[in-house]
Amino acid sequence: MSAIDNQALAWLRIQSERELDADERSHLDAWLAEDTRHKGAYIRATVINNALAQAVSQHELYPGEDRYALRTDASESTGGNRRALLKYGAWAAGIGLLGVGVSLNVTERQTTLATSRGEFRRVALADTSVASINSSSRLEVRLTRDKRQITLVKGEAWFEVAKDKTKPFVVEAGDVRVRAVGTAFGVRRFKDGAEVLVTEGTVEVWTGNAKALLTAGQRSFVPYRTAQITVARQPQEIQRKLAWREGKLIFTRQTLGEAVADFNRYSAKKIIISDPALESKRIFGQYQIDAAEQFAKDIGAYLDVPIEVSIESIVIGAQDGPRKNSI
Amino acid sequence: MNQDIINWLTVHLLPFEAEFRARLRRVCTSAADVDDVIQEVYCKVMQMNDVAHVNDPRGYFVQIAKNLITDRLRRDAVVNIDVMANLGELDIQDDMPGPERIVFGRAELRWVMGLIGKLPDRCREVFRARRIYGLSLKETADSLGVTEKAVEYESAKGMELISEMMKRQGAHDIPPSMKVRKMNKAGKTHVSDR
Repeated sequence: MSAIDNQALAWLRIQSERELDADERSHLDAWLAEDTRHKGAYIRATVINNALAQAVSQHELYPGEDRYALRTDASESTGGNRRALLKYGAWAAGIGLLGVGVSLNVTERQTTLATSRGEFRRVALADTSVASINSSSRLEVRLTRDKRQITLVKGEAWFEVAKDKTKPFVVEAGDVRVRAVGTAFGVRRFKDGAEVLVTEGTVEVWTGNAKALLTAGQRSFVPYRTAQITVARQPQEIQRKLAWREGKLIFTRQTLGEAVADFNRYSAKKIIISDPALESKRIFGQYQIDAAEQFAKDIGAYLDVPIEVSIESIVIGAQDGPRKNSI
Repeated sequence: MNQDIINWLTVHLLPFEAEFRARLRRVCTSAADVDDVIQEVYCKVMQMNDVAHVNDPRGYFVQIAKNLITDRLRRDAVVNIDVMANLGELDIQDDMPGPERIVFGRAELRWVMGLIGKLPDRCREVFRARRIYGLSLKETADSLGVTEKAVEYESAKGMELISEMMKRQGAHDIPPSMKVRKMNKAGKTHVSDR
C-alpha cells in the first residue's frame, strides 16, 4: 500500500462528493506543491476516478427491483451482454466512409445525412471528423476551404472533431451555433432551443448576442435567442445522455414520463402511460434502446400495474375499454 | 486539469499499469521506487499540452520511465551496471492497435467492473449505492443500516482497494479467449466470451 496514493485518493473522494472549502483547497495545493510524487499520485487518483465513472455510467442496472435492494452478485454485468455486443457489431458495421468532397477541385459540396426512427449512423466525414447520428435526425454537411459547417436540421448528433485550426467546425441548430476546433461534443435540437453536451475539449456556443464557452463535462440547454446561456458541469449526466451511441438508454432517477419519452424517440410502437400519477415515479435502469417492451414489462412488475401490448402501442397502467393481448 | 489527458491516461496508462509495474520491479530496488516512477510518469504526461502526437503510448510511458531511472542513477552518482542492463527489460513489444479514439473500450469497462466485483461485500454495496444508484451519504447509510461514518470509511477503503488491484491486475491480463477482439475493417466484431 502506498501512503501517498491513499492520501491522493482521499482528496479525490472528498472532491467527488462536494467542493473543497478555501482552507482545504490551500491544504491540497500545498500538498501537491510539496512533491512531484504527490502530484503524480493525485493525477493517478483522478484517472482511477474517471475510469470508475466511465465504467459505472455504462453498467447494467435493473429497475425491476427496489433501489435499496442492492445487488451483490459480482457477475451481473455479463447478463445480456451478448446482445449488447452483437448490437455493437451491427452499429460498427454501419460505419461508412462517406466521401464528402473527395475531389480536390471541389471547393464546396453539401451532403445530407439522415436517419429514420430507430436508425443510427456513424459517419466519417472527409476531414476525418466523425459524426454519430441519433435516431430521426438530419444533418447537412458543407466542408469548404475555410470552414466546416454542419446544419442540424433535426434530431441529435455527437461529433468527434478532427483538429484543424484553419477550418472552424461549426454546428448550427436553429438559432444556436456551436464552434469547435478539435474536440468532441453532442448537439440535440429541440423546438425551443438546442442542448449542447461536451465530452472533450472546449466549444464555443452562441445564439444572438449571448455567448458561452463549454469545456469537457459541461452541458447547456440554450433556448433560441436567449439573453444568457447557463452552463452546468455534469459529466455523468452527459455520459447518460449520450448512451444512445452504445445503443442504450440509461436512467438514474429520471421520471417514468421522461423514460417513456426517451423510448418513444426510437420506437415506432409508442409507450403510453394511462395513469398520469405514474409519470412522476422515479426509475433506475439501463436498457437496449429497442427494448421498449421489456422495459414496460419491468415497469409493470416494479410498480405493480398492468401492461397491455398491442400492435401499435404499449400501455402502462390500467386502461378503460376492451382489453386485448393482455400479458 | 486537462480532461483530454485524463481520458487519454484512463485509456492507455491505467489498464497498462499492472504490466508496467511488473517490468519496473525487475529494474527498481523496492516497491516504493516503483510507486515513485509510476507517479512521476503520470505527472510528466500531465505536463504535456497535447498527447495527440503520441502514436505508441506504452512505448512512450516506458521511455519516460527509463529517463527517470537514468536521471536518478546519475543523481546518485552510482553506476549500477545491473540496473543499466536491466533497463532493456522495460521495452515492450507493443501489439496494441495504434492510436485509438479516446473512448473507454469494452475490455477496459469489463476490467473495471470486474475489479469492483472483487471488492468485499460491504465495500461493494456502498460503492453501488453511492456511485451506481447515486444515493446520498445519508440514504446509503439508511438503506444499509449503518452510520454515515461507516459509509465514508467503506468508500475510502473501496477506492484504496481498487487502486491496489489496478497495480496488480491490468485490463489486458484477462485470458485471450475472454477478450473482445478488435473490429476488423469490415466492421465485424467477434465476441468469444462464452
